[in-house]
Amino acid sequence: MKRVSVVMAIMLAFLGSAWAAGDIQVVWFTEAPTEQGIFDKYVQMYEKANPGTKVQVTYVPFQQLTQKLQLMVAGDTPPDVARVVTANIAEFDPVALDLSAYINPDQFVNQFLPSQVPYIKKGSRIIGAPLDVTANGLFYNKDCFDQAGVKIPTNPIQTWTWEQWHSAMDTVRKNSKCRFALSYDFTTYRFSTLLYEAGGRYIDESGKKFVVDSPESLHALNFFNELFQDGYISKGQWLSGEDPSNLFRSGLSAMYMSGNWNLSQFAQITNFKWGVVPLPKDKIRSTVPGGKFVMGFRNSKNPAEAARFIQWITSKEINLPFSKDNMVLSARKDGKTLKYGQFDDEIALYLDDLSVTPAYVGKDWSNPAMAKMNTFIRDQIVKVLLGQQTAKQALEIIQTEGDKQLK
Amino acid sequence: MTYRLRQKIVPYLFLIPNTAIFSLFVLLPMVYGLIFSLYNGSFVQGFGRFVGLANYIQLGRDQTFQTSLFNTFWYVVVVVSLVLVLSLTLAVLLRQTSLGSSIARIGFYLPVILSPVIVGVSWRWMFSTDLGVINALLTEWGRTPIPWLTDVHWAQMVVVLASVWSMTGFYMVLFIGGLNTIPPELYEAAEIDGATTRQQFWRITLPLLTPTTLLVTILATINSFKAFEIILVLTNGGPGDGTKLLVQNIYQTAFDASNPSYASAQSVVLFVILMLLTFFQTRLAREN
Repeated sequence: MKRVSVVMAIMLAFLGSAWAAGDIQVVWFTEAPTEQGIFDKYVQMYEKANPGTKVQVTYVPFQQLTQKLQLMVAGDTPPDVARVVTANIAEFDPVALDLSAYINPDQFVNQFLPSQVPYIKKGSRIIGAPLDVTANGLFYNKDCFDQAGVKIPTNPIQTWTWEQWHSAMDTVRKNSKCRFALSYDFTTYRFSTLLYEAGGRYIDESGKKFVVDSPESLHALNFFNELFQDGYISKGQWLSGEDPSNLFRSGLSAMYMSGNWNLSQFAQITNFKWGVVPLPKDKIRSTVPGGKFVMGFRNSKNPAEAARFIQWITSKEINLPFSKDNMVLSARKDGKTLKYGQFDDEIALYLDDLSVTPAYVGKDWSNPAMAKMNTFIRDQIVKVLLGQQTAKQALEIIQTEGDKQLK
Repeated sequence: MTYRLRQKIVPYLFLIPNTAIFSLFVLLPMVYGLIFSLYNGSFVQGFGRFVGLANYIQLGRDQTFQTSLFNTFWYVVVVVSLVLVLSLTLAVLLRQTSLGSSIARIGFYLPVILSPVIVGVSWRWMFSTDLGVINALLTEWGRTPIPWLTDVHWAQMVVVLASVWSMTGFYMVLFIGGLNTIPPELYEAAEIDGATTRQQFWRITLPLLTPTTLLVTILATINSFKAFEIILVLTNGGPGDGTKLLVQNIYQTAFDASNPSYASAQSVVLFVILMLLTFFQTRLAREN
């Protein structure tokens, strides 16, 4: 009998240590190899500051994040906390943990940049917290530009027009060791940079109607198609899953349309010098703002601790050094003056692009319909690139499908 | 309990574990998928609204679904035909046991034990339009690079070749097994009667291999319908929808477009197709 009680005591102790009351399960996506090490450091800091809590982190590559969360939510085993992007926060809104029960909502929301608030504030509910702000941007290979003798604009106000950008890429392609002119991420989000620069938009001011079938959007899609057909963008990137980032990092592409989150990973490039160029302009200057968020889930095991962790990681004391370590733009109002020590000039360019971006761009992307339309729009663009439909037909199809989603 | 009753019940008791596992992991998800396809559900909100046959009606208008269905049919027909011919040819050529044929057998079987992801990555490394080894060599020799993975027709060819390469070795072994069951006396008698090698193949080998040929056809057809990983890694279904098969379309509808109910409807269609095929093949086998 005594032996049985000892065994039971050991088992209970084991079970207790396996899942203590304060433990939280975190799903954290990574886009760059450096991110995991940095987050591990902050997890250790949190555990040290909260001795009763153990943070169990599951790292997933960005491409698998949505599927991972969908399956966890569908199986009613959501994580306590997840790092997500704008499209996810819209999709998981119905099952999101309402933080307003754990915080002072006005005070909490007031810490963050106004552009990020529409994503997290849904009526009286607070469904997450912004970690950082992202902006699409253009990288260039300094060695190839120097070799071709092409100067890049340094002042965003006097940035290239599309024609000047096109001509610069043409010269670099012909006169440097770079085989390809432009790497271009295979996403609707990145294509949209051109659409907004041309003066187009997806959804009207009321948020109830798609207006993408416009002469401005047509101009953008035609320009993109020309870059593709004329070989400025190598075909594999948009037709057969060739990794645009790889092409740039290996020194094969002269430019790369991506975004600010690449800075920390590009800091490790040693085979050539690179920099950031202000985004070219057409009718207007614009980038596409986005962001990374942390959110909790209603049916998770430990919502109270999840809320505490979310507050902690987005607090001034933690979020500013965390943003600096990852070389990302903090979503906090007091993060504007943050100095990074390196890449301060590059980050200033992203901030400048963000400052001139019209408000409707962020409004487009915080509309849940855009999360559902993302892949559909990209598929229609690919059909244009393959010559299976005209740019005009693609825009008409996107508009019709978009209106269906908004209903 | 009487002896007679016990004799009736016991066989069913033995069937319980298997039936339970089959019901839990096969039957239940199938029924769940069928019911789910009648709803407008999502991962987040569960079943959602009952929409009846709306998802099935939408399939009739969905061009991407129809393209993927068409792609699946031609892929299955081409891959199964090539696999049958090649694996049978290799089996006939490598039937004799010698050191050379043993090494060749190992060589042809090797792709079977490779992970499909590795197969996809290796073929991509060779055939990538921008960075592939083959195009690099062509450029080096002053030839125009070929758009292997960025032109629909070339991409379809590469996908078929990669699939056939990865499958042939397995079916070759099945055919060698089948060939070894044919009594050598038949060939000796045929030779005495003056039959040529070609006549021996058409009159003895092929007819006596019918059960193996049917087995290979059924297995290759089912495996081709389920093809997913190699194509996902090699072309991701592209360019456009050029190499997208039904299984990939189901996956993308469920997880990329977050529409699991509509994906379930597509799965039900695939299930019906496979069931009909299996039914006809089994019937054919019985008649033979």
